[in-house]
Amino acid sequence: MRLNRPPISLGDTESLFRPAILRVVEEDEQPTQNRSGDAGSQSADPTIQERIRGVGAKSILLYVLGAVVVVVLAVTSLGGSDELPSFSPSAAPLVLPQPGDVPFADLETFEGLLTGQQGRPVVVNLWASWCPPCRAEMPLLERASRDFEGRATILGVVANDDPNSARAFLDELSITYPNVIDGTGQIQVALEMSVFPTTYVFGRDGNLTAVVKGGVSEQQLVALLEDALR
Amino acid sequence: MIDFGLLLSVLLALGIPTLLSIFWPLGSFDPPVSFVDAILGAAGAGIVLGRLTTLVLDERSSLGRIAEMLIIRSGVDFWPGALAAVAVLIWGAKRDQVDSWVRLADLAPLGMVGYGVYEASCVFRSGCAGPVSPIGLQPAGISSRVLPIGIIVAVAVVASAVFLHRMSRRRAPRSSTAKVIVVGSVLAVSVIRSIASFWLPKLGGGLTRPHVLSLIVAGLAGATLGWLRFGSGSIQVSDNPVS
Repeated sequence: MRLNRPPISLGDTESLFRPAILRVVEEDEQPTQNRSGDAGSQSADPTIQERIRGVGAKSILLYVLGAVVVVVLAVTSLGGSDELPSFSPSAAPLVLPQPGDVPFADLETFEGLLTGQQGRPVVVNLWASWCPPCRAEMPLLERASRDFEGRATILGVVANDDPNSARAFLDELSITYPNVIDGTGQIQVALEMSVFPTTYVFGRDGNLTAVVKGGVSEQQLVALLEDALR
Repeated sequence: MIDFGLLLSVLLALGIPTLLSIFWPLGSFDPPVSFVDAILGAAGAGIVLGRLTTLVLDERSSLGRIAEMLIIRSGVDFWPGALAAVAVLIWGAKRDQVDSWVRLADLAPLGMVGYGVYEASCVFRSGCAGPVSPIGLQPAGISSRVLPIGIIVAVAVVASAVFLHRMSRRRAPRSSTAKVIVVGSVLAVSVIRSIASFWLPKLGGGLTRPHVLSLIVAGLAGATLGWLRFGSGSIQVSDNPVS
């Protein structure tokens, strides 16, 4: 809906800075003609209530209510995220699968893959091809695997997914870092995974040092890897 | 999984300037509106164009997959998004028959506060990354303290916003002053982002695309401000209030 009022031109910019003008007038104690022509009629400093009314009390009230709801949800959701699962790999060391090979792995095999990498940090990413945030972060993990090649290992674990769909997706995105399929579901249970995707960081000594629930950002991933390398 | 940390950041980034607009009222809207009412459409357009830019340049495999395209956490290019937001604000100003520079200058300080709040709310998202430092925060999963770059950016941006807001109050209200405020806000944000980007953890050795863009924008904004100040001959730099 167009407002039926005269156009505000550059010559009338005084009206656009009316609050500023009012303040200057108050400071100088020299009433100046305002837009409506009431010289000095708005001499009093507007109260907080008037100011709130001026910018839309309903908007602000709705906003505050919305923010309170989100804060409650955020606190509920983020609470306890610092607790790490009590998982410590101990099986005999195994070699990582070759690129293009996506084998099934039970918990013992998975632990063997981790112990086989001891001496360098390992990022384990649990994902599924039906999970959009998982798909969205995989190019980032691929870049990280190249950037940290020889210094750290990225290991993908396919969970709750059709193996053929997962393999097709890895081909589609040309993912080269090693991936295994959690065929028995034991790996996700041992890692206490609750959301897709979840990323785990194991330090040089093989101990779990960090868990990121949900998508991981580039800054967060690099910060965690660099910390694990220190 | 809903990313409540990001949602909370966005709400704070819109909510705190809205509350601040009680004390920094928007003068270019008639009838008066709150900051969130004034900026929501532009912010939406900015997020959409910024996300599309990231998809086209970095995540082509996600194009056409709506669920993946909607994951804004995977990336929203800042400067293309800002450009889209400014375009929408200019369109709104023309629709309201208000000078575009005046409208942008009116919103710029509060917009900068919103951006600063978003950066500071990194504590709810990824724990505020930065270089290792004896002082600072210790994000979850990190064994040492790091300098929270997001919070430092926030402080610098909000300080710039306060400076520009005071300038808008003290100088004569004319379009040339509005131009200085708008270009000054772009310069402040681009310079702060350019400097901060050197310390943010990243993959690869070179400058990232957002970093390069920030440097280019800083150069353009600096040159424009110099031209406005010394070249155009139309700027009154006196701090005299309205006479």
